[in-house]
Amino acid sequence: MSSAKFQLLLVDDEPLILQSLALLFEDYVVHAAESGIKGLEILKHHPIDVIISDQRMPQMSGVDFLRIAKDISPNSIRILLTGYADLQAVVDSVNVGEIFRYVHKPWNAEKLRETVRFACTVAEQRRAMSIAKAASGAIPALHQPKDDAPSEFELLFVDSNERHLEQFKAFFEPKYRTHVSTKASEAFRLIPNHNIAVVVADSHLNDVDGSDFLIAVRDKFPHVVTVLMTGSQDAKLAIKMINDGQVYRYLVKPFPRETLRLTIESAVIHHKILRENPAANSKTMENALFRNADSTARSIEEMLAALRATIASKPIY
Amino acid sequence: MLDYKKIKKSLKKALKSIEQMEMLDELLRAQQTGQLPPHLSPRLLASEFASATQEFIQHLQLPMSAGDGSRPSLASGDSAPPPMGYEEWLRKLQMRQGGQPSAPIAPSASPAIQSAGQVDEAVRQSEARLRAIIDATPLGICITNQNYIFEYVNRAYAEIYGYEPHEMLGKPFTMIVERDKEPFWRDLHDKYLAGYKEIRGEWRTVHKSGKPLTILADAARIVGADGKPKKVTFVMDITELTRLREESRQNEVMLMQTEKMSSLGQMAAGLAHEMNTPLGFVRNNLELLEGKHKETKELLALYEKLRSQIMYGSPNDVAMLLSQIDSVAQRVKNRVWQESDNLFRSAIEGIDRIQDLVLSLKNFSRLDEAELKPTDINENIESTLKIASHLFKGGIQLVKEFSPLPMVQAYPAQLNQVFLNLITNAVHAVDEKTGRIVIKTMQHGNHVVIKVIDNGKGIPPENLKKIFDPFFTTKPVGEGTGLGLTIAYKIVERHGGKIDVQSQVGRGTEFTITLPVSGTATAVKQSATSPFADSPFAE
Repeated sequence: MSSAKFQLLLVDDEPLILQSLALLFEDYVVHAAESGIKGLEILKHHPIDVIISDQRMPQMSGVDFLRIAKDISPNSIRILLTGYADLQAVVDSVNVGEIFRYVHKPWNAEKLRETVRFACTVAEQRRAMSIAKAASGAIPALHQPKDDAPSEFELLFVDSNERHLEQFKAFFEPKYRTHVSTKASEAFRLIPNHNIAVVVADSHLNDVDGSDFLIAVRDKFPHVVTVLMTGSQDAKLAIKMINDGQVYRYLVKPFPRETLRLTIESAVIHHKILRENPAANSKTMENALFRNADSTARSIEEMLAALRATIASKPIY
Repeated sequence: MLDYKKIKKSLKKALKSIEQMEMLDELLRAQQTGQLPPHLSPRLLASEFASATQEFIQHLQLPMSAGDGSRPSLASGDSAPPPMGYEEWLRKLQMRQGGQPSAPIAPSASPAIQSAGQVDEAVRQSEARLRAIIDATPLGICITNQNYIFEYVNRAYAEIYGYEPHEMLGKPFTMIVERDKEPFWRDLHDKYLAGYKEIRGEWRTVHKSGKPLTILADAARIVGADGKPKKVTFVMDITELTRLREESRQNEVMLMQTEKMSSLGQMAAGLAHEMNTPLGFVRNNLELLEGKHKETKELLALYEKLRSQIMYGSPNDVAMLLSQIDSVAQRVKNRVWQESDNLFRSAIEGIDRIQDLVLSLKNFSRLDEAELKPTDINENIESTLKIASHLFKGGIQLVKEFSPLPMVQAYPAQLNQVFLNLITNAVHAVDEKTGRIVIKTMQHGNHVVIKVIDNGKGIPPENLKKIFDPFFTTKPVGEGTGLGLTIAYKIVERHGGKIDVQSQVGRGTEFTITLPVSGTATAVKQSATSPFADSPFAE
């Protein structure tokens, strides 16, 4: 397919960045905006496939812009391209902006071109499946009244703190059947045998790193939605979770119960969309496109080893 | 043989006692007529009167006994108390009355002393009391004679050095100084007895155990009963105090460093973005141009081939090459090609921008300049603003109202730290969209005035008095050291200036720094007449 039909929206307060990027993507239909407000205006009138936005901009920050952009055009793939974002901005870009990739300035031209090409494919698939309606359903879900009817979906919590696990179980049952485990390896074996929609893991686990575990989960079970819990905010970790793990949410402990409930509710809906429309899932797409044929690995250790090799050789970050 | 000098002195003192008695008498009368506050009891006044009377008699007695040498006289030549003023008497009396009623100076409350036997007894008591006071005082006191020998040491003096008094008496005082400094000390002792004055101060001495002691000392010259000059030395052990002082000085240096690192850390985040943005397009432009350059080289290679084909090849080959050239040329002439001039231009502009930032960082830190130098305050604020420019990206309005200023003798790097702190605080205080920060400079006579005014949330009065306190911060843990303004205060103080703040909650805050143009901080002494340190040409 020719890229000419894809439409990009570039948002940066630095005109020279816009000039440079426009030429990098001269095969695309490029819209450029020097502010988030102008960007939103363009978004209302053009079917944008991929949005590339800076974070630090006057008046409206990149995350604020992407949050509104997500409501206006849920199918557009969102990429944050920034020279520096503070910790909060990175975390928000996951939780609020639901971004597809976090790219540092200065960037590598070829890698960025490839990322955008890939993002366009995902966007196109989404549109083709006309999932716009379903995807937008994920947003109102956050405002849905509490619904206690038992769900067919199951949850899995992985945390080295057993007391936390008990509390999670007590909080979500009986609505969701809730599995808990203190070990990533054990949790990993649990997933294929149950109808698990969401895996929530702490970054500190007894056996492997919680973030690695979640990346492996996404890789092996692309329809499972992942949520990372962590005791401390860490920009590097958050960026890794975005770019390698496509984590759905990044929660900083301690968080209010209500936050966790809303996160799980919307994650379950997200899972439903992924299951019904595999094309909505950038991870499935990515796997189909880039994954090396190592689907025989069964244990978490094998999985992680294979994954590290893939990430290292992957053309995209 | 009569010591006329001594008699004259004693008579003078007796006269003073009479003056005191006179004053007390007046006070007593004033009290009887109700002109004094009632809490000044007649009893106390009476007792004071008694003690003055006693002193009077004592002064009359002393010259008589001066010759027999049985009683060492401690009376120093110029230690006679100056006559007290009325106010001072009042104050002293009130204090005594409110404080310790158990310490009346006079042994008896009777206004007059009748017999000589009673006087002797009074003198004896007075001396015993004096002895008790000297022995109980925490101040070390010793008397040394012309031969450097301890003639007297009180308990405190011996304790400071770790000896018993009897271990010191009769020995040379050099036992408490460093061995290799003995000649210096003896010399100082000689000089002091000969009238040299500069002795008050901190000195290094040695404890019995050998550990060094820092003492604060002062001295007085007296004439002993043997008519020879003696040195009375008063000593306080300040070893611990000195250590604490040094410790706190080092702590302060460390804290200043911490604060500097912390504010630089916050700056670094903003600067990273400021630099990465031009780096972003410079790099991207270069990659685009690199691609274009490869295509152009390809085109050039085809042209070379074409040349040889024209000479030696078939028309068919030439035609093929030409079409190949056409297609490559077509590829070359895309938008990157059309825009290549602009891409080069903006790459250079981007590099200039990065260079500018690096330069202002250098200007800000002033690492390569003399610490203390004539400083252009306006220029310093400009370079600080450049470092802080990213803070104003959110739409905060910055107004500069600079007046021409004279050069100020200052530490530019330190002042920059102050400016950065005030500007950062102002940015944090104002609203991101409606914020307005005014920076004013002006000259007021011999002073340069710098104002940083914001229309931010203001500082509540209860916090206003604490803002310069160390570790006071309203920022969440981990975001502010609470030292920024403390250090700003110290730096301005070091320049002989002051820093004031006015604030109104909801309206904004105004910081004012006033710096003297000449500066109090002086560095290298410069001779106006000669370029040489030890001028052979001095007038």
